[in-house]
Amino acid sequence: VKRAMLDLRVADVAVIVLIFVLALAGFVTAWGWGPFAPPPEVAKRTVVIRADGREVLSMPLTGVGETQRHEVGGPLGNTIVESAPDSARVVDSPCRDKLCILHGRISLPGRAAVCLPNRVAVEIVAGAEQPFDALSR
Amino acid sequence: VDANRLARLSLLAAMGIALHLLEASLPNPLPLPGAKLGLANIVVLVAIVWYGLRDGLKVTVARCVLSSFVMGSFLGVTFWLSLAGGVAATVVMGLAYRYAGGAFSLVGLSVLGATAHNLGQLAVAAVVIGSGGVLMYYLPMLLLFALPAGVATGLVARGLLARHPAPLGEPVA
Repeated sequence: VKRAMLDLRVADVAVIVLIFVLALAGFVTAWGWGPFAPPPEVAKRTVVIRADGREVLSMPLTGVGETQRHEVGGPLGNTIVESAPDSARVVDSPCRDKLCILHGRISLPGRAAVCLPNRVAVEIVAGAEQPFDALSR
Repeated sequence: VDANRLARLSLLAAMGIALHLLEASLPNPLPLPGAKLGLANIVVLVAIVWYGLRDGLKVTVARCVLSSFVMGSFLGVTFWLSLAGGVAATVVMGLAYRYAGGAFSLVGLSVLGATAHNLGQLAVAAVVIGSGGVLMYYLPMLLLFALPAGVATGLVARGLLARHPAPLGEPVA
């Protein structure tokens, strides 16, 4: 190893700054910070539940109605997703680390709670393309 | 096969497995898949500097496969996540060391590796979930987390390589 490998170099700082800027750009676009802030209306969001790579449930957040529980099957067993009028969360999952439950309640577009071991994802997307899904169920 | 090198690579892989298992037994610092320190990257970085990218990859693959045997996760989601992350980190650090080793210090290489690790994991996660939108949500948090994690593991590798610039038992080049 060359002696120079031990001391912090200009390129190191450049990489650190670049990654920091990319992370901030990600927060602004994907998280809706600042100019990309999502509209506050509750009606224009949809909860999408995915299992094993496919969409299994899509229902708009109406802001009214009751809290529902959805059992979503995965390779480890059932993940229980709770959809409230304005948000959703994972309340139980057979995975080891329970990161999906720890993630808590999600309500803003672009947010997601994912259980990778059980291949289940709950995400909030902007818009309400399929308003009849909830009625026809 | 050079028996000395094989023995030393096995030793590095064994240390990688120990660090991998230690880290897997610690609680996650954030409720976020993939936000880990990446202690095993220390060993891989040492392997790359001592022996190059090809041997670094051997250490990474051995580490991921053997750790998954111990944890019972072989060919499961967790296994593919750690293998994709580990291989991505090794390739990026190995190429950066080979072609831009003069420009980066070990800390810079380690930060590149930590970032590549998270990107590799996210790619597998996106396939598992079948959605790139979820990926975009986790990306900024993981990028931000890769910085302190990469600096920390880079500093440890720096401490190791400052004392052992050449493989143990071999003369310093």
